[in-house]
Amino acid sequence: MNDAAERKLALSHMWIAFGAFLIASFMGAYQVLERSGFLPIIESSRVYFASVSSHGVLMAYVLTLFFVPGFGYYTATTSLNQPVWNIKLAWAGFAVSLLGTVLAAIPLLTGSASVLYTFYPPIKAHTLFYVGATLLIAGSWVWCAIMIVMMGQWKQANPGQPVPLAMFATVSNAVLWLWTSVGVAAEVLFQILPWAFGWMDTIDPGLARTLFAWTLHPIVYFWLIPAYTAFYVLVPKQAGSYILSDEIARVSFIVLVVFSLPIGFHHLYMDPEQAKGWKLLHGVGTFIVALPTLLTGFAVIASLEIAGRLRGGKGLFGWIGALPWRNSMVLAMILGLLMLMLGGFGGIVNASYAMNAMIHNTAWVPGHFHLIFAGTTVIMYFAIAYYLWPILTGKPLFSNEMALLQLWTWFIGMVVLTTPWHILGLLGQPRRISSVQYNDPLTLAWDTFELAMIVGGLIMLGSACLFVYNLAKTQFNPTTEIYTGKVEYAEPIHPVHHLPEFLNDFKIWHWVIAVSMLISFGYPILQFFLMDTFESSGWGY
Amino acid sequence: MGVLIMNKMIQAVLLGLFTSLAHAEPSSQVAWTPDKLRFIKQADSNNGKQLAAQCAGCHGDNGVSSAPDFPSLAGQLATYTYKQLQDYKNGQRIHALMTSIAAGLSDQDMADMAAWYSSLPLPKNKADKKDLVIAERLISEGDGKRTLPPCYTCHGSDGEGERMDIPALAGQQAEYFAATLMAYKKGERHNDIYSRMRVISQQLSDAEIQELAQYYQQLQ
Repeated sequence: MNDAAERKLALSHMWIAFGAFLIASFMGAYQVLERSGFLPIIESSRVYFASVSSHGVLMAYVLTLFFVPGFGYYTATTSLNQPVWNIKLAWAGFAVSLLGTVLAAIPLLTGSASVLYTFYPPIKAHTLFYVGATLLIAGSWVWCAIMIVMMGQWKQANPGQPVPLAMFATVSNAVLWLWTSVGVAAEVLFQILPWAFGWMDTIDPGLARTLFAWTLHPIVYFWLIPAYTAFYVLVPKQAGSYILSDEIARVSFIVLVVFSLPIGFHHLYMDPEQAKGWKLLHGVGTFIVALPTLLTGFAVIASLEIAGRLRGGKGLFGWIGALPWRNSMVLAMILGLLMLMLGGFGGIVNASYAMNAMIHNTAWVPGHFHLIFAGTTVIMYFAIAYYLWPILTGKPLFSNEMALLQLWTWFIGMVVLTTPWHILGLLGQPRRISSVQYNDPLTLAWDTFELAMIVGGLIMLGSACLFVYNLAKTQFNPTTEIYTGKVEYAEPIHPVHHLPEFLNDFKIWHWVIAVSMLISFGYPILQFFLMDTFESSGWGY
Repeated sequence: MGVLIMNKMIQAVLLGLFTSLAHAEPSSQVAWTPDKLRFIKQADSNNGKQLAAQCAGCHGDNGVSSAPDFPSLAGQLATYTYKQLQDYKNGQRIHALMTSIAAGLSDQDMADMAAWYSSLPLPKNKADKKDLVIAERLISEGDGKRTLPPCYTCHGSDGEGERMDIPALAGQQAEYFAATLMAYKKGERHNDIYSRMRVISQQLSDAEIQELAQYYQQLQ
């Protein structure tokens, strides 16, 4: 199949994603320097908050909302071996998201949307920011629709056949994103935009925070699922191994989708607008969502062990040394899993109602989400890019050595950055602050950790530059050498021929999600319309 | 016997508490309800301009005062100006001239004038060559030992003020500014909600107040 059109579509998405990533990396390095107070000349709370907001939007929304569809389109076309359905529509979605990004960038970079890339009234950004963010998300829904249609078409053409695991994982993410984005979409459309345009004088921050919590947790799984997809279907092949179990993988994706949705209130543990019973319910759900991660950890490490033993590794740990460490995909997964273990431990603290009180709104929280997102998730985005770039551009990777160096420096930089960040949180340093210098013995004790964070941040900036440089050199290399490799998906040890429909489709799971969301969010949202409260004073005017 | 004395003491304390509560008045009668905010937002600044003609003698033609002891009003938050006029009228802020002037103004007049002044640009004054390091530090860092927050956290990095009732300070007359802080410091002015400025000004030395006044006068 000639997939030139799909390759162009995927490359365009990924260049926007990684371009945004590079710009945001420079902002990250500036922020860690500014906040430390070591360089008074660059201190400015106004620039800092504009930078943090832009950094967050670029990393959390632009990088992901372009990378995930780009990777998804190409996974769909290669795993199903069919062209992208309605590719013009896909380009239209791309254009809408890009327009949204540009519109949001204007107020962000001019300091009119310094709202820390969240949607928490009464902090209010320029209207253009909200319009841009809405378009960015709306464009991504086009991708979701195309993925669901393509799986439906394939199933019609291949009745009774199991949907290829790579496609099943991709569609699980499309389904997850559709459900996930409902919360923030409702908040923006019914609360924030009417308020920002001046059609409404008041806004209910409690309702807004509840709706944002709907989105806030599952969105991290939307970011993470491409990494898990690569863990299951790309890494084993690269390591010379097999998928431990196709069914375990499907169960993991389904449980991730179903249980990541009704659990957002652990972000609201310290908020007054929800009662403790609801928080407890969401807290229990948060622990359940650890199950698919444990399942995945078990299955993909088993795949690696098989690879190591097939390569001659012996003994309890000998297989680890026998792994192909010089394969960027394998290396990224090993480093990604290490960061997932560290970050997962921190996540259990966040999820625990009582322990959360110690670290809520402290530096621990950004330390945690950088480790999981910028660590585990983004390192797999790198690996996927290194793997796909030669296939998409038709040219061999410029330098595998540079790729390995980049992955190691990213990992080391991340550990050096986030370990002191967590410690600072335990020492009581608040998050969302532009300065940590109060000339107090307590804050003076933070200096060593701040210094370590600067070192980590600068290592990561160097690593980010290496990454984009390698991709650019690959694509624009004037070499005549042609790369003809194709995407190769790993096979399960025991091939699956028939699957029950609940492991091969999402129809039933939509109902399960609908019921669980109704239980978890029904009354907590409804209460804002039922309970008598004194009207709060309007903030914006 | 001991119990009796204890009861008497408790009674005395309670009596004192209730007496002081009975005498306590709110620092302002203005509450920022959505209706109030909408009312100020929809004010007629053209009407305000005409009404403000009678204020020009003290506050300047375009709200930029030429008398050092009268405040400039240009660029001030409409909600702040409105609140001050209400406070004069209601007796929460007292001034030999303004109390009687405000008494003759309707709510609509106040909102209209406040809207007119807020539509004008903040005053711009020439910079003094004086070194203002102390003021700069107070504004950007505050002083943790005296629990003084940095001025900019409320009044903004450019002295632009913050909704609803935190005034813009950039370009304000230094003499008026210093007199205001001194009045807060002595408790003569007390229409600041939660005593915010009274608490802060009591921690400031007179020299610091003078320097802050100079800083904000020349801030553009």
